[in-house]
Amino acid sequence: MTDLQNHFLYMAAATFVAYRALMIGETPVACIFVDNRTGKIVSYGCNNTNESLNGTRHAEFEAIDKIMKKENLLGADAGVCASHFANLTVYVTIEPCVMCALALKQIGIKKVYFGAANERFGGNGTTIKAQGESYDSIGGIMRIEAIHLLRSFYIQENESAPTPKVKKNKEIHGKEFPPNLDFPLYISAETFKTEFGEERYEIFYGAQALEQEISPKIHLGYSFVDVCSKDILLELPSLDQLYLNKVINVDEDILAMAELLPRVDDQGMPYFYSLSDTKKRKIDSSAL
Amino acid sequence: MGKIKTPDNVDVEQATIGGCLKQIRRSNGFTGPEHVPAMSSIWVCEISPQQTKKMVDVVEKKIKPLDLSDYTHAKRFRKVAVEGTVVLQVLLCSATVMESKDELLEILRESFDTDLDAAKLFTHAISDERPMTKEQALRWSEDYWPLSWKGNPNQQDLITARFDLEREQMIIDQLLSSGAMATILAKKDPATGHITVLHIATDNRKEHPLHHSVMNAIAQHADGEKAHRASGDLLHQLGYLCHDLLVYTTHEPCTMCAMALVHSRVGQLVYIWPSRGGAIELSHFIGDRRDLNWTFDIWRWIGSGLERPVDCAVDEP
Ligand SMILES: [Zn+2]
Ligand SMILES: [Zn+2]
Repeated sequence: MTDLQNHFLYMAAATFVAYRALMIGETPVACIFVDNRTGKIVSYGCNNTNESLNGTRHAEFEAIDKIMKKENLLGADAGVCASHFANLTVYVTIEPCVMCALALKQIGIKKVYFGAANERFGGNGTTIKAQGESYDSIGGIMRIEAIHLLRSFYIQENESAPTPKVKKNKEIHGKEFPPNLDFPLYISAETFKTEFGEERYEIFYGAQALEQEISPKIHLGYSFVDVCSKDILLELPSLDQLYLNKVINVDEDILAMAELLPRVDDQGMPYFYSLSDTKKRKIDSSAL
Repeated sequence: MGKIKTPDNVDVEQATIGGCLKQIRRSNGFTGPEHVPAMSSIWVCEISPQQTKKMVDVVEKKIKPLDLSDYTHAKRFRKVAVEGTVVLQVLLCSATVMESKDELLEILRESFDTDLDAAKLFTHAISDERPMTKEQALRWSEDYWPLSWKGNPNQQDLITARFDLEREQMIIDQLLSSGAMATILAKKDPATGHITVLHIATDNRKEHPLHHSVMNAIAQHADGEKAHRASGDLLHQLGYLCHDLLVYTTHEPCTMCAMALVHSRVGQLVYIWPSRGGAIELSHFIGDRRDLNWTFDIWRWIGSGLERPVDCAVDEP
């Protein structure tokens, strides 16, 4: 049986960064880069297009640029740079867009894990498989959490916008999630088996419009609290930047996320634990 | 529609203007009837003819504002005979707009009460490409969803395009003046047509593998805009991202840069040399794909300047 706990641990960290992005008014899409040799998170990034006024400042670029600086890779030999990134694994909440998919290839990344498909711009298989064979990008880990964070963002946007543009504010708890990934678009059968195990291959690979989610242990449900590690979150480099000028309170955030995010039951089906009033989860406006 | 006279300097066959600019469109290579278009999925709703007026209203006011897709090449309604009675099927929106049927149904029910049942709502295939020939239009209408035929759209765009070729040449010369891979961002005054160069950026990938000239030009523009906003200089605010700006670059952009132009919502791209890693005419046709939600006009410069080649740093496609 393939235990995916480690992947969930890191994806939970990426999801946490996305949640903090939401709290500071950015689109909740985030990534972390993990050093394969030490298991340490060496960088994170969250979407920064609103603050920078630059439509290309996606999470992946933010994380890459931090590494380029920190590791003195600016101006380094192309080979040195590529071999540094070859040791890093990317966990990103939403499939990299076509631009980022190619940026990850050009910088030398060899492995990507993502949560939900990027329906409009996905560059690891949804619209184009931009990376070709240069790296495998494996999706479906904490997929519904990533989607739910984005939905929460659109609701906020509507509350402040004079003319609601995306979606109406309504009870998003009752909404179904789009079906799971069509895995053959993204990875080969062999890669799927290696990553997720034969037992999941039978269920997920090539299934049409499957509503079931991948969980760390097959036939066993989970919630955000089960898969996240406070210690790992506290070790995030430059964690303070996710709080702007506010006090860092990871405990409070984990609780808030446990309340906000959907959970997965033993059958792999999403559900919400508490159906409390959505107003409780409004944006932290003091941070805007 | 009155027929527009083809200007003397336009070569329709070659899709060029004044021997300087060549129109780059994926569809210029696929004019045969056997060509299978790129497709996408739309939400379709079945109604009775009496409900037409109400539906037009709902689509215009409530659904269209949510949809970024362009269906100007398609017909909104089609007639279908169901068990002897005529019903209408309506193109509502792209299937990517609504994640679920419930969501769409909810919007429709605000206007139709219980008149509409979920069974009358379904997804359907449509050609994303505009037909190049009448034959294609007929075939794709029959096979997928009805399209309108208003003549070859690429040719119409070609003969109605307005370029001041002297001014274009000046910009190309400026672009080539550094002797390096470079990108210019410019702005066109919609009233006068006058073009102002805003930024010129060179390739810097030796410093940072992702600092291609296109990425650098977009960053320069964003930084400039941030500075203007910080200083309260409202007069020089250029608006969000690079909306409708003109891009001139020495080499066909790679996949990353091409998609960066889509994200930045530029209006037009002119490049001089096709390149090995190119994602415009060599592969993908980014910028001319409606499935990526933003398109821009693409031209390759074929006039004076080509004799002064600039080294291309592209290592692999
Ligand atoms: Zn991206
Ligand atoms: Zn590029």
